[in-house]
Amino acid sequence: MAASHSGAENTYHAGLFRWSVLLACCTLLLVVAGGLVTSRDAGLSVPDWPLSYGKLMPKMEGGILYEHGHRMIATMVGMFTIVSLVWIFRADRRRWLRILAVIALLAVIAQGVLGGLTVLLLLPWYISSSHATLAQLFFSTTVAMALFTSRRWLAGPTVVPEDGANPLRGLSLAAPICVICQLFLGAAARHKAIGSIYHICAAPIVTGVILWLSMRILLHYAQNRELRIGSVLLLSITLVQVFLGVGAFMTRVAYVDAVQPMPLMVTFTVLHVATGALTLAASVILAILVRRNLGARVNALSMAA
Amino acid sequence: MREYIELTKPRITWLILMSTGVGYFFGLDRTASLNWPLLIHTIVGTGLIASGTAALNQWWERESDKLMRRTAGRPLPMGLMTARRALWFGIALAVLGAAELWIWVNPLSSILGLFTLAAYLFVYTPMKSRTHLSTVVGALPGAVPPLMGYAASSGILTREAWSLFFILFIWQFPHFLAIAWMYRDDYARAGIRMLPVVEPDGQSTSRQIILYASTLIPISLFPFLFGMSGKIYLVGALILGFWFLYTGVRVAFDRTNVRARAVLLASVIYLPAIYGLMVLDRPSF
Amino acid sequence: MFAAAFCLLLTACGSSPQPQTASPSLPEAHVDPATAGSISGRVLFTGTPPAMPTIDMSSNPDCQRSHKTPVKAETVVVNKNGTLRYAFVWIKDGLSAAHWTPPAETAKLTQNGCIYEPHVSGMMAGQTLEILNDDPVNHNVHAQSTVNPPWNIAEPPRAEHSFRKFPSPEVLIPMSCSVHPWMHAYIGVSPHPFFAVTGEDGSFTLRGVPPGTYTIEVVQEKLGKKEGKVTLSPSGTASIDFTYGG
Repeated sequence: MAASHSGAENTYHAGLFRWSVLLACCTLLLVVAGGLVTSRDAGLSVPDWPLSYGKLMPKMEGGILYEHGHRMIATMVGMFTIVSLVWIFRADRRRWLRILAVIALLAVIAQGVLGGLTVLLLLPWYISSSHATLAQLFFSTTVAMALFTSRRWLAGPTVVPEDGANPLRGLSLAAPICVICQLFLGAAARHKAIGSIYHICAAPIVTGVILWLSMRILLHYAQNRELRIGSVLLLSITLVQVFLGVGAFMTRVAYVDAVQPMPLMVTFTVLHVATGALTLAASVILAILVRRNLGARVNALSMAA
Repeated sequence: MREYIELTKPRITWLILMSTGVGYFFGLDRTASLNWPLLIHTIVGTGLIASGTAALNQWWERESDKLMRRTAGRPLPMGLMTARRALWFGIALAVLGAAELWIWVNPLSSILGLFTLAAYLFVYTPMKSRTHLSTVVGALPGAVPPLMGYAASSGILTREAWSLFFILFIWQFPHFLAIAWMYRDDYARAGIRMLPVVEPDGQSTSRQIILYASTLIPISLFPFLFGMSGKIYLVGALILGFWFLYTGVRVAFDRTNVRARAVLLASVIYLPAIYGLMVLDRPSF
Repeated sequence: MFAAAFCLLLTACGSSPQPQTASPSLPEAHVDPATAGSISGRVLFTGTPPAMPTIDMSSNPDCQRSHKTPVKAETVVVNKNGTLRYAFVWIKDGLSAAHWTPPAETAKLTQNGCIYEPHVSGMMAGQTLEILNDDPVNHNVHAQSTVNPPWNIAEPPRAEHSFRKFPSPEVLIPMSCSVHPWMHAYIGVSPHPFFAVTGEDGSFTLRGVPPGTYTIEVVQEKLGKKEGKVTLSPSGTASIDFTYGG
């Protein structure tokens, strides 16, 4: 990603920025809706696609509320993405951002197709898990787009030299990669392809990597405000995510004999899914900020003792 | 308005209230509901008396605070309000808090709050300029909040409550020793005799950090042993405890500010993390 | 990303399980009524019967209204006489290889008050399953079969009846509704007509069985499978009991 050329082509457009934030928020809502569909076993409550029981709007009862509601929010997000694309093309000159907007639109279309396939092919685990993982990646993309259209970003990077004894580039990439793997393990467990034991055992590893990255930034790069805030945010979200995961696991164990999805279990699990999306987004944003703000490496730089 | 909030040391108050909440949670009968009104009275009452204590402490130390860079920005050294106003503000908060606890919660929690205030203001604060053992004494009132929460919801203090007390008590040592190491020059300027000021090579400080961090590990297991929390908490407490100890070991070998800050960061993450795991991993719903 | 999506599309389309059709070279089954006998027995349950949770139908008030008293789940139903209801019993092994013609009449699965009736039933491979929706609400019927191709169909309120077939034997096929996730039914698809589901007295009888030695299997949705052997003499009766522990 080229460091921004100073100001002239890239003016801040408040409307575009706010729209990008709106898109990101609606996408998070969509992730929550999707989580609800799975947790309430409503995935097949509308057997046909793209219509629902032959209509545009069926009676929103029981599982249909979740499944069709999810479809409606998805359509809205798709349309908002189109608006984003058009707006970016009209208002912004940065070529890479335009490409990203196109990728976002293609991703949301692919998500729609995958969603239809999950219903028509009766929820094979690999399609459901891909749908879940692409959803999280798309959410991160919308958050990144909001970042790139923000006033702070357009003002330019605040460069800090990389401390050779505490390198950051590799570690900051490792974090989102670990999170994506963990997401996929979680999705595969949720769709009953593998046991949840893998997701649980991988959790300390992912948390450890994030902790390592955050500690390194807070100890050695804390003077850079963006990195500092980014790492505190990532760490807090990760901690909450661990707690939600424990809650989700415990409620699942407590209700193992339940004959229908129990509200407490649904709440914890869906919150865990949504916070997972936030975790991925936070780790991606931090990686972007590291790449942007890190200057040339200085070896054996002694930070103030 | 802002300076009044600053006077109450809000970040510390938040930590106190979190600890109180955890104590409250464990004091509840396992099958009972949360009893929101009682919880709100407990939190508000504890918050008021803790804020009052903080304000009175700032009033007491307003002169020495001017000498430390860390505290020179506080409202009284900056002259943002008169000492008299701060004094009455602190007294008002403390009295309101103690009264709220006495009337709407129970006398025990109010007495614990008053004990905390008295010990912190009349024992710990005067000792700070005299001996480094003030840290030990200060950690006692610092660990009372979970007792207050537990007393609020159950009316008695059991070994479960005391296990929470001990965890918070031991935790304070690596936390404050790390801060004291990082700001030792500042403390020296103000004449506060923390261990790193008294023994500037840091050897005894880092030794103590290791000692207390290692002690914290078995102490943190008591909630599991007493049946308060389950195996997930056990594993989490061990992992977090060893990580905390690791940062302590690193500062012992490399007594720099950066390493000390790592200990501080670890302590700030450790406490909410084990609290969260403790509360979530309750054996029966 | 899209290459991946397209590959998934292709593999998914290609991978639906192929049903095993009965080999046409099998002889038609024939039972001599002069020598046919019957196998009967009971399915018992020892220990404390597990408490069945009450179903929460609040997500759909129309369902809730159709029941005067709240409905309990039927995962493990222990009768008053210590026997088990809803156990599927069939001859697993022992009949000579033959093709049994399914009856012309349909097996029925009804959605009534947002509950499947019957909760457990049996039918023959190749027999037609008739699905009825007596409710004023939308349902979907998802057959979670693994040997037969699975399917999921929409059942609008008071719709025309739907008809499906299971070509291959499969014991038991879970049936579920995603609009109302508490709805569960089980269908045992047998290659032959010798199967039964225990009722309120926990007993079963398989009639018109030719003489021979058979492995009888009982399947309960939660408690699992049990087997036993019986020998049936010409025109005789044999009896076998099964016991599930608490």
